[in-house]
Amino acid sequence: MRRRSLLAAVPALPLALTVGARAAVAQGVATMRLSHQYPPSHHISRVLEGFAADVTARSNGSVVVQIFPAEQLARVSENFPGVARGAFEAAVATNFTWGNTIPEMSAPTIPYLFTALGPIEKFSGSEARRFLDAATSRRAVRSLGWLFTTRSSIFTSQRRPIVELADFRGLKIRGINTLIDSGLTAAGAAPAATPAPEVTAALQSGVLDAGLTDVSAAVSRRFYEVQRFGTVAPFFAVFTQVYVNPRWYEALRPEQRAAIEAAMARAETDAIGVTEATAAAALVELRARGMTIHEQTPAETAAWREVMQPPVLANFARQAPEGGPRILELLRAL
Amino acid sequence: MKILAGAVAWLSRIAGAVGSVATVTCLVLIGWSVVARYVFGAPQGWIDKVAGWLVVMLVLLAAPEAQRRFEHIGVDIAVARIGPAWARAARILGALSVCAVAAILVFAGLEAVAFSRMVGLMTDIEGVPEWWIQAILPVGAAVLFLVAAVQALVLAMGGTPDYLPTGNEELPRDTLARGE
Repeated sequence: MRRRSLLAAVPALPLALTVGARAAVAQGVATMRLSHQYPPSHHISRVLEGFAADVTARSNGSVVVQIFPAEQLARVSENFPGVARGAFEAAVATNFTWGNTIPEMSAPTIPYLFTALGPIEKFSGSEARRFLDAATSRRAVRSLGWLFTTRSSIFTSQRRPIVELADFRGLKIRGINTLIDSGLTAAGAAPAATPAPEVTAALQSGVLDAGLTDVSAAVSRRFYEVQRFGTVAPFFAVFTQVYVNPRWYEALRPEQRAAIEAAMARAETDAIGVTEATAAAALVELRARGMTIHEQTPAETAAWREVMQPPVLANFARQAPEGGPRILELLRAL
Repeated sequence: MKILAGAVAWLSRIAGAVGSVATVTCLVLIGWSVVARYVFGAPQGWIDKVAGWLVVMLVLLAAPEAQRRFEHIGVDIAVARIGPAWARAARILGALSVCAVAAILVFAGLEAVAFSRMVGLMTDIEGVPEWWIQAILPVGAAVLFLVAAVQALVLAMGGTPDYLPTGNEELPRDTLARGE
């Protein structure tokens, strides 16, 4: 009660929504407010909308999932504290945004490590997933699901294409986190970690010379309006983790939890097909919008991997000395 | 009372000095960041984060000294017209209001620190836990609380806190402070 009182004193917290949610619970309807950063046109945003509708249908309306896209409810960095404290019930995190808090989470995003479709399809039922779920539960939130988001990255630029490793030299490029950025630095680039919603504006203003995102986001975030060239590479995989407040979740009736888990399992499956289809369509769309797209050849992939992967693996081993080797072993076993 | 007021004033000046160092450090780092990004083409991402922390530090650590010198923005039209007794009551009420806000900040800050420590929240800078930064909030707010509490106490006992405006001060030269 004391914690709730203190939180109520913080003006940033949506008090009115909290009151509304309590009223809804009192009537037997559980409301799950889910905060995410993707624009409504992003493919994962659409998967989450489908998840919300599925939960309502499976629970016969006893669970209502309210989606707040594009940071409408909370900024990316506020999602985890907000859910852990119970200010809202659910949020998403791209795996690498856990950064130094859970360094093991960055494993799927290590350059050229986990981008084959077969292992990605096995991930949701794997020991690797359970390992990362357990790591999440030690941080006061409960992992609910993992939505495959990309295995096809795009390096965008305006002046000249980025094809050879030498093209990275001196480029101010969008960074991901300190771990992944060490690979970009090894190639000669100067990465600057930039949240996804701010990348397009940074490219337009010249704060960044080059962008790095997944091909689908390059469409939904309109990279084609500010960038001429794009090199598509199987650089890293990204998963969008959905997590909930454990106290709220445990207070639900068993049938409500079953409805949510079944809907999330379906969303995990749907996300694979949607992500693959959206990535393929994104390439067509980016070309149609005037971007010159280069798809990385196997020889270029090998050259980039040789330079970028070793420093990231070395840093990963240093940042996650206990769990790091284990999650790498589990991912490689898939 | 004098000893207490002196000790709190010393504490406030120390906090203000640290806030000043944070200000200068922030300016130097931002300058370096601009040169590194646009002259040497080597963005220093960590500076953006650290500069944000320094701004938090300078605001929270300078606030107590600004309060002690009665330099926070205020509206003195009523105080100038209601007579000395009511003016003193108004100033006590103002100081107690600052105490209340500072107390809320102290508790909220302590809760944020406890939460971050509990879940092991880390900043983007390797090896720097989030609570190190958040700890600035309860520290600065605690000093602010002490300063305002001493001012309220001195006023309630019929004394005159240091720097209490008399109404005869010259208007500041800069146009922003004059409201022009």
